[in-house]
Amino acid sequence: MVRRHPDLAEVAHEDYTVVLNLARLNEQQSPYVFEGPSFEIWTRIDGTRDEAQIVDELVEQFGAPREQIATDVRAFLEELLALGLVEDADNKEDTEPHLD
Amino acid sequence: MTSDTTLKSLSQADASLLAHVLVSRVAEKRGIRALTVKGPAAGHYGLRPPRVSADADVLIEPARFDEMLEALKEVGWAERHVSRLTDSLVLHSVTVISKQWPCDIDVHVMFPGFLKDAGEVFEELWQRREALEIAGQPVEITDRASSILIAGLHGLRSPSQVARHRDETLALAERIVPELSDADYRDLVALAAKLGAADTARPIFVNRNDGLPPSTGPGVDPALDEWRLRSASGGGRAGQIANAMRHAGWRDRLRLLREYIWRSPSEFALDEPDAQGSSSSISRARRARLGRGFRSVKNLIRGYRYMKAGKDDTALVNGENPW
Repeated sequence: MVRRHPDLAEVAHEDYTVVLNLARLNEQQSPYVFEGPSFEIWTRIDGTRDEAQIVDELVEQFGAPREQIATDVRAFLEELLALGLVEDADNKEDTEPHLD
Repeated sequence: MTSDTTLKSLSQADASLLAHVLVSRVAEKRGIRALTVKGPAAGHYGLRPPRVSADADVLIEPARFDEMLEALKEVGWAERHVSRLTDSLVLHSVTVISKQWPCDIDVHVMFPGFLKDAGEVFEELWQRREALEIAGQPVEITDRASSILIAGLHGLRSPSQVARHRDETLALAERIVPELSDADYRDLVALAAKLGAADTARPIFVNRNDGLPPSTGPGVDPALDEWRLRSASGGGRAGQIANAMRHAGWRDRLRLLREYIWRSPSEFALDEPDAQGSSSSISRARRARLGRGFRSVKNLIRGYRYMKAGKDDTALVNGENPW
């Protein structure tokens, strides 16, 4: 289970969101703008869905091949974990990505 | 998926909101006290119509102002280069910018119009602070009474420069102050007196002024004289120059006058970045600036008249002919 890091500032819109990583301002000095696929994944990271559930929802909503969506979701979540924008809700101390 | 590769660019509206949180967090990490002023605070209290702030304004505890600028530099926000003239005239704040953000942050060491010691003013504002959630995070803002005074002083300081300053100041005088509850009104008057704003903010009390201390005469408080000169002259650069020249020796007076009238191209470009490019556009900007300078003489005369008479400029809010 992944969830957003609590130390983020976020301005959310209907079709995009802007996120500033307050915990790592020295390294990440500008906000991230998530739109399109990244926005669809980001909005589903709420601490209640695991990776498989996120993939399921996106497959159902967009009708794209499951394998392709799963690959994209995995890549994005790994990037978010590396950036510290999300954390593994089951194991906060673990630095290795465990996404489900 | 990094900020460099996203397709949508960062809008000024989003950036401004996030900049408020950024400053708040940078200050908090250093244990520096910082208060968001104007912008979201004014909007929160209904002191102005909702609108996009072009920048973030934050008031820092004066003793740690330099430390705060250093802390902001570490996260990519550096002082904007300004001309020598601007540097010598603008003493209440420093503007910091980041190449990656489409907004500025105005870092205030004091707020013009509060004539008491800047440290004492900050302490009082800090004691009364409230928290506002911006972009999902709590940010310290001034309370409603403090925000009313700040909005009033901001509008009165440069009433002729921006039309919305006039509208917002009128709203304070015509609606917001008169409609305060008795308790809130008494609190506002007491706060104005405590912060040294009973005279400077007097025009916003034009429709309800019971309990306000009597007006201070001319020559009693040099800072009040300067305020009256500046605000009654329209709040432009000429009023600032006139105030600076009152304290300057003859050499500095000549320098100020020279730099106001004709600056080097590099200095001119720092204050007029939009005029960069062809020599004709620079010449046009110079001519326009000179024209504004000549026209401001009339305003300056008015400013001096008000200062000498110890008169607060209520023309803006009570409809009297300023001339």
